[in-house]
Amino acid sequence: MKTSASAMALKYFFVLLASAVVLYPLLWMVTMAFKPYPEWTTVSGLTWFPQNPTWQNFEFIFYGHAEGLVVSLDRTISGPLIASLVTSICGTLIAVVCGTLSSYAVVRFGLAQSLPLSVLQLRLFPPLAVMIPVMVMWAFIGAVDTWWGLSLIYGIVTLPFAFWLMKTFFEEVPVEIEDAARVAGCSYWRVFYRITLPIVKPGLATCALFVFILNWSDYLLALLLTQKEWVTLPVYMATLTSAMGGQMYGMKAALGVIAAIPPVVFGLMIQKHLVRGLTFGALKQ
Amino acid sequence: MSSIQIQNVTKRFGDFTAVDNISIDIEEGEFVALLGPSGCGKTTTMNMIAGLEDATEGAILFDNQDLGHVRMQDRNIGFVFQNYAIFTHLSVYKNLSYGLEVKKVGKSEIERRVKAMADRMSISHRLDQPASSLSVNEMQKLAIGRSAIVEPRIFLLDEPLSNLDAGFRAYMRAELKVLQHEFGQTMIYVTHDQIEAMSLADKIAIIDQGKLMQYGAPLDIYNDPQNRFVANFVGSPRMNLVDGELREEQGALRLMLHGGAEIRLDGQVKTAFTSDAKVHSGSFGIRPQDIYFGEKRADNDIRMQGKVEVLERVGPKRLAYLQVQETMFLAFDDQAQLRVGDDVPFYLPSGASMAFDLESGRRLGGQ
Repeated sequence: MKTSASAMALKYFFVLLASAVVLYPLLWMVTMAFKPYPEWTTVSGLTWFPQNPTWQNFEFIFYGHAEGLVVSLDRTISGPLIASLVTSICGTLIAVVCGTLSSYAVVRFGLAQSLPLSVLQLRLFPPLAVMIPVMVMWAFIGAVDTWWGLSLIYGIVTLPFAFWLMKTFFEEVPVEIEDAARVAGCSYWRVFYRITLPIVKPGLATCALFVFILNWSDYLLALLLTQKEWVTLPVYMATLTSAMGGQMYGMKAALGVIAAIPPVVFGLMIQKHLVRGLTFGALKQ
Repeated sequence: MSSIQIQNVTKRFGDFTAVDNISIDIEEGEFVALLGPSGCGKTTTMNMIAGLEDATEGAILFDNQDLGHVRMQDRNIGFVFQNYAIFTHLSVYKNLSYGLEVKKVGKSEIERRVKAMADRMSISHRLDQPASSLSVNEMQKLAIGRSAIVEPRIFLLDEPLSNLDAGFRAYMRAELKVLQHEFGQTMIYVTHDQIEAMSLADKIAIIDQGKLMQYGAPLDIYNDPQNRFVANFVGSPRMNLVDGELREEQGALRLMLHGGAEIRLDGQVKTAFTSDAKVHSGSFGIRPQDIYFGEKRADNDIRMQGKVEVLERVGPKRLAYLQVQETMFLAFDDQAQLRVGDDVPFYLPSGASMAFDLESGRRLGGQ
């Protein structure tokens, strides 16, 4: 039929358009990462793909200097990479563990019925609004520029997200399944980790990935709460400028490519669960 | 196998009383059905027996031993849930072995019992498959097998057949009866389907709005309902229950029906209505199969005249809907002579009729 064919064409047009909008910056980042310095700017004319592909940008951020470049870095990527990994993973652990346990208590035992809303309030205002007092507190307990200080704030800031996500997953688990296990002789704790957690595993994986991405891409908290030792990748990226060369676009793009790897790998690892997790509520028991 | 005594048990959720002072004695090996409409408190009663909920007041004894302080996991109960509550993330085998593993039964023993139970429930060809792949009927069998395999002291079933298609439901009904004989276990069965309860149970407890309406053998309940609710609830097709005001004129007692017609009371049922002088409005009950057409068979039988509105085939018989002014009576067309539109006389045998107080619902003059 003619109408459906044109409707299909229109549909694909919009799908392609949306994909292009989403993928264009990614493409630009990847190609930029392999462009040598002269190709970053309009001096030699911008091109879609590198004319003289090079590893120079990667070399520069890993070693602090590169052949053919007069500038050098006082800090390579390795420190920030480790800092980002450590704080993001620890922050994710804190948020997911606390969020899972507390939402389970709320859903299954009807405890702390005011908790869902009060947790949500943590996200109702911009984090910057409370960052001054947080900075004072963190300075007071000696948490500024430490891995645990940053992990802690990551855990707190993403806790509402983990809490609400896990709450919806737990609400989907029929209470009878847990009752069946209890009747079979399981304690509450055993029911939780042997029956309920395995059932919500897709949700748990989805939750962990989202929280990880939130932590991994944070700029503001790390900027305010780190100084030198535990500077994370986003903050480090902002420092990639030089008095002579201005913004070091190639290095930033190379850094972006590297920074994109952990979430992508994580996402691929749990891909099987991810589809299930995102559609959890839509499935019949 | 255990006996169970439910003693004056009440359960409140805030202001709402879900179960109101219920007492039921269940003997060892008995099959008892808790029957009632949705939301009547039968599942709550079941949950209290299982220990999923605590009673607000009263006690539940197993073999004369109060279980109030015994943790649920130590009660050794088999529970089959309405939605089966299969562990869909585990295999069929793991589902069956779960209770045994929790109880730390030896590995070879587990294997033997799982195989035997899978054979018994004819799901042995599915043992290695994930439980989520089972059909609804197989899930039902698995749910029963999973509960039965631990050889519980009592076996609780919460509307286990309500999600099944009609054919399989009839099959499982027979199967459950067989299983109960095999296991010899005390079974408590929650249902809102009176046919299920009548056909399966040794005794039926009928519950309405949290109160125990009657407890007894199915036939006793059917023949001798103690109140209007039970009379109305049990039996298919339902008992004719018509409400009206009692009026005495010149020694004759009539029930002036709210639909406009009247019943001239006579015989036993008249005696029943007059047994309590305080009763002014009553409910007259007669089962459809007791109404007859044709010649009057006994002096006391009450003559009525009604128009055949509908004739409905029920198995080999026909069920007639007889309109008497605004009131409808259901009766079986015992002589197969009725036609729609006929204005026919019919008789309500006084001995088979029942009298109820409309206000309290209690049976008048019953045994």
